[in-house]
Amino acid sequence: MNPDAPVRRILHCDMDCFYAAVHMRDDPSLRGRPVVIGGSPAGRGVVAAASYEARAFGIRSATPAARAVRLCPQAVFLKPEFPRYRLESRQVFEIFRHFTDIVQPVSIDEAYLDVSSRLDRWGSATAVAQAIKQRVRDERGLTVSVGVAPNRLLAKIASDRDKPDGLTVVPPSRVHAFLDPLAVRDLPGVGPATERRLERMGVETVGELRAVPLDRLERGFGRHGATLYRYARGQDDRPVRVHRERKSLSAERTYSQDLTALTEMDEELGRLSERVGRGLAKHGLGARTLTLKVRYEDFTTLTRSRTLVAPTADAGEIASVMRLLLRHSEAGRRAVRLLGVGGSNLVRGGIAQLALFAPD
Amino acid sequence: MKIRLKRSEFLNELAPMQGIVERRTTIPVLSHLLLQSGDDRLGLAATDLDVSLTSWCQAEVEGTGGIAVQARKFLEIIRAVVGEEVVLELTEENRLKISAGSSRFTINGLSADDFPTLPEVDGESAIALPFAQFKRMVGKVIFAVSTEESRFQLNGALVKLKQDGLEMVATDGHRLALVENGFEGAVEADGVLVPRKALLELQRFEGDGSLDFRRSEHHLSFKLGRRELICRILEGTFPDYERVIAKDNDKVATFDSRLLAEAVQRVALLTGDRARAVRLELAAEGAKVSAANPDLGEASEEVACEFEGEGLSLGINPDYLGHFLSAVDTEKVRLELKDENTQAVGLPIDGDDVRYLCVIMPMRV
Repeated sequence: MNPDAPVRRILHCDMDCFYAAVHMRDDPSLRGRPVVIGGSPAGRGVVAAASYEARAFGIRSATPAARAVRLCPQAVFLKPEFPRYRLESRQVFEIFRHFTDIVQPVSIDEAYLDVSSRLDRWGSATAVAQAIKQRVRDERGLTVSVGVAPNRLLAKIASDRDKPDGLTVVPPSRVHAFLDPLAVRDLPGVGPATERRLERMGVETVGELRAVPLDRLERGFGRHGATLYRYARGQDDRPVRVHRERKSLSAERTYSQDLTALTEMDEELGRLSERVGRGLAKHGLGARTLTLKVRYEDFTTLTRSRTLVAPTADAGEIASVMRLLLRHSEAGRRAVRLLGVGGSNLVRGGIAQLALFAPD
Repeated sequence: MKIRLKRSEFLNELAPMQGIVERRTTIPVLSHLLLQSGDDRLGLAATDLDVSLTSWCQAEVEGTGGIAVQARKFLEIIRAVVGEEVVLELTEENRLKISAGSSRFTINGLSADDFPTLPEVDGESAIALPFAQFKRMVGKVIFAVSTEESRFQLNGALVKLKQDGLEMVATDGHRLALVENGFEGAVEADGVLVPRKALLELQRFEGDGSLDFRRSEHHLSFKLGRRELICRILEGTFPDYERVIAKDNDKVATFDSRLLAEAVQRVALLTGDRARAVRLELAAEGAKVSAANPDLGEASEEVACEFEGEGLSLGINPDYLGHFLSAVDTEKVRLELKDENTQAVGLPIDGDDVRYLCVIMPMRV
């Protein structure tokens, strides 16, 4: 690690009991009760998530459902609703992105944020973390545990220290004090096997691990030894990668005067499709799913989608799908204030079927 | 109404009705067949409102009447029973008694009055097309008809009479197939768009008689023997297809049709389902077909070919190439190419058709 590198401020934000929390937020009768998501109590399957109340009974994710029932017969078993979680996740991540552009989602319910460049506005990384927690609570009714540290490794460990609704800050000067008392298994990459072998070397805490020379770790663990050596010192220079792969591309327009005639709307859809088609082509993408968005004069909004046999970036093809979908709406009978055209389910790698006819 | 008829003959006429009947319909009567008594015959009809089929069977008829019966169930029954003869009897309101061998069925039907009135196509005199040839021509273009509902004007083939010739063209916007054959006495006329479903059902007809073709303002009629298929003309403007048939492709590769088809099919095993593309590389030494997929791996195969011109490489949908290669009926084919962004043109070598070609737009890989 370069000692002259500026100190980074990294946040690891980890939603508390995410799946269960979403259900408990939306159904007050579940609050305070052991809630288990996934697996049917009668059949097989494993638990996908458990509320803290259920965890108190020893139920964890991946506990077989049948065992979960034995551990806690009074638990409420719910079917997972992944589309609902994904939608929620997107909204929470949007809040994260409000604080910094550098957001790296790790899974549906956790992300790393690099807020190093945002300290002027917020004063400190801790203040950013507090503001994020506040907004997630106010806007989404959920709690998030945040670790604040100079790198991803420490932020990740820190977010787990004070769950739920935790905030753990590791200032650069306190790295060793923070790590040393932890058990080695608290380090990422230390599973039961590594833990047992370290134990045989007389190493149980991170502080003890830090005392082991590099060559001995390398002899014992190969390349993984060097990682253990760095992790024991709280060193990790992996950047937070913003790797926001484009998931969709769209164009929409609100009209100063509501559109009433289908012919007018068809023309507008032609223009919007042209924009989407050009955008897709520019990025070397093709969309397999096309979505029409219509907002009526009373602001009610609907979307209609169609999935094609082959991906397209062809404006003519997009427009003809849009015009068909428009006829599956009440447009024409109701005035329209906004039209939108979107492509999703994008195919990368530039494989795209070229069109025989120029767009009409 | 009581009707006695030969089971085998009846089955012959019942079977093609199944293709017309809508399987998933919100209008119950469209999953039904109309049975209607006539003079010494039983009339049959099926429709999905766009395409209709009528036919008849010779029968001994007592009284008059009609009923609509659930098409699939009715066929299953007539297939399952034994005996050479079937007797149908309209009993009480909308119930039909079926007797064959020692079996007795009484099935519930719908009133014949609920069955849609089928359009009639009369007026102009019919044009007699040689059916066997017509069927062969349909087989050479139908794969290129679009099944994307949104491109409704491409959901059928253009059938066009020319001076002493008949032409059929189909395209889905990515590839196009065109076939033309001699048809003596024909006079140039506007083309008409025949929906895909009508073509598919016509392809199932058997026989080598003449297919009487008529058109009215909105409908077409195709009559072969006792069967008449009526369909609504597909509305819309068919694209200017001659414009996209590349004329100056200067690179020409000659292949054995079967060898190329098999190689493409094998290599295509390693293409994904989302965007299927194989790479076709042509050089003086020969051709290579290859595929690479980040999830699956790579495949390649050399294929013998005669090639003139500068080498080139292009991506192509293996299904599009495969469809052409299985429709073409000559031992050898010629691919005319220009570059990786220009449509390839596939042609038979020593074919019987006046003109047959398939234009395929490449894929960007």
